[in-house]
Amino acid sequence: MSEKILRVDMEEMKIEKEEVPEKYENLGGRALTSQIVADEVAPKTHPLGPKNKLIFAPGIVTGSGSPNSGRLSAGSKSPLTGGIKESNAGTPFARTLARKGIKAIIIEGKAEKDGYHLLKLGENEEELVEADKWVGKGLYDSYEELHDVFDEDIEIAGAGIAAEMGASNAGISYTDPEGRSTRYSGRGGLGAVMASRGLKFVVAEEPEENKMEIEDRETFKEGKKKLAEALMEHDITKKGGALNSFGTAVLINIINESGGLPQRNFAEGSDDRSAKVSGERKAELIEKRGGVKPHKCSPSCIIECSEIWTKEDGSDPVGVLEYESVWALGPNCGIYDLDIIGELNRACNDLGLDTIEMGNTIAVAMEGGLLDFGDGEKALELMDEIYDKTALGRILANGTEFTAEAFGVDRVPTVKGQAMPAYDPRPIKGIGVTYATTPMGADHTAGYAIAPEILSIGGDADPFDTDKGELSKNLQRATAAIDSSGYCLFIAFATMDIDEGMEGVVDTVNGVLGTDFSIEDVMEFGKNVLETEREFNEKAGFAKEDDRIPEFMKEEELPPHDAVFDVPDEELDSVWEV
Amino acid sequence: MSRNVKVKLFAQFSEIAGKKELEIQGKNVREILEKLVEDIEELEPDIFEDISHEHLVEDIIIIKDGRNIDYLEGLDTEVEKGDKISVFPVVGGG
Repeated sequence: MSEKILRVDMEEMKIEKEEVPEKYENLGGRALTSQIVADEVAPKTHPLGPKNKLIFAPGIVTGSGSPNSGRLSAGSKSPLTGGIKESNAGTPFARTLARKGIKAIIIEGKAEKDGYHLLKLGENEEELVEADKWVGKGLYDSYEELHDVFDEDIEIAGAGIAAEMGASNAGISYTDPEGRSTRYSGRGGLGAVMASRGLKFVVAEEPEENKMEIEDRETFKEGKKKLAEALMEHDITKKGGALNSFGTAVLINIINESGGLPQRNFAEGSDDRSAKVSGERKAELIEKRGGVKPHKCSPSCIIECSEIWTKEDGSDPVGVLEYESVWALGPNCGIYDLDIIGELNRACNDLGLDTIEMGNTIAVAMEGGLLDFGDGEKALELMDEIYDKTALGRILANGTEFTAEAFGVDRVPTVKGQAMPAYDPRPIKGIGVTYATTPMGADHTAGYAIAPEILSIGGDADPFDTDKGELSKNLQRATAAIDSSGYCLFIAFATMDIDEGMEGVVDTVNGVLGTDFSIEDVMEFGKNVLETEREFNEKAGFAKEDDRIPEFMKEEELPPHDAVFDVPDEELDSVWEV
Repeated sequence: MSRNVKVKLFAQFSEIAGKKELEIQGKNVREILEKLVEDIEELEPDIFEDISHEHLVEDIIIIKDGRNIDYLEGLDTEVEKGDKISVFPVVGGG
């Protein structure tokens, strides 16, 4: 294997290339970041201290040219949850690392002196370059300047202003195909881990020669064709399908109509005004304004659910306004104005903040009386507090739970310190089981029960049934495998319904690795990843009592269904029963 | 007895119909949807599997007042005046 692991010691300012140990050879993405964290990070270490590490790993098929294979995992001990974290993003940065023959980058140690460096990955050498001039600067401008300073043909990973403050909601931003700071490992505060080491950016030059290895090209080619055909056949992933036409925010209406779209800090499950911020409405406006839709987040994508949202006059391109972001910064704050949501999202991308966490943070601040629900202008002013690194800005940048404590709020929609995404678990129980039990903290992507519960994909499950342990467990295992493969999770819409698509996934993985994994092996692979993560969390101090939905959701009825979260604890615990 | 219900169309369905919302009278979901495709013929192949209107196309999602009709009485689900029926093509995201 000619692939290497790059170890960057920020204390010694030393970069070493290591051979890939045998135990890591068949791992990639989440499986690899979680295994390295489990092997090298003490579970009780302080997330921002010198002994934590940040790992980047492209997925197994990333760089191969297989459809939708542009995913990257960032992993560490999370400052937000205190547990293990893997945060997955689609970005050309992932492909560039894979094509440079980099299996993983391990960032460790902590610079002794104040100040920041960037890690430059050149054609033949790697070096740490002083990067203080970008401190306090927004990421949109910083990425433009980095493209001017270095070669145009670079991809970037970056920590923003929020990360400079060690804030628990600081994500890691990556370039989109046009070089903007719009792609994110948003969740879990990994940007703060990066900046606390003294690392501001990773700048990767596109290699002249693709060093990505494919062991069995025939098997790979067959698999690639099967997967591409499935994606182009399925109504959700095909050209002109739901994702391609309306983006992920196509979900706003259906979740709202189902009574599960949280409004005003999870006080209600639907509001007719939500239609004003729907995917359909957004697509109309993008067309009118001359924005870009459809758009791809990374070069191999054929679903193209992304877009470029702009202001009314076409200025200030934000990048994509995802379903989760629109909801978090919109209806969850009582804001039903896409222009305000766009500006809030732009500020998040520029500061280096996760939109889901930030939206929830603003909502609990509203609940705590700092501003009124629906006051978009004031919400934008709060983002300025973060730009200015004021005391209030620092509180807000530390996320939902921290802000709730600061303002005496007891309705706090978090699990393991991480704020919930855009589905209320009271009328959609299966997603609640995932929120409660995933090692990641409240995370919809960890086991997307919405597919069978609301969208009738991959089977049908009544959202009100409480026996969802098995469903969530299987989804979590499959997801852990997909997050390791390098494929976008959205391929699952097609592969859950079309068998050949799933075969294509396995064939391409086998083609790249030269293995003969079966579809059953995939679930076992996912199970192993989850168990590694679970074990880390147990050693960090988590017990099954932490696998719970917040108290208020068990008692407070959510209109319009007047539902409470009534999945028994035993059902939640069944996810982890052997 | 008149049972006027509000029918809302989403995503590609509202594009095909050229409208997002209409009022239809009927006693159950089947009647409502039959009247919908009488009114907007272009929607028929996207809603019913065949001309007999016995079955819906696969993957279509019909929500009556927040509940998927699959978990109620399906096409036979009765409607009351003021009910809301939301009609979705297959959608996904996340």
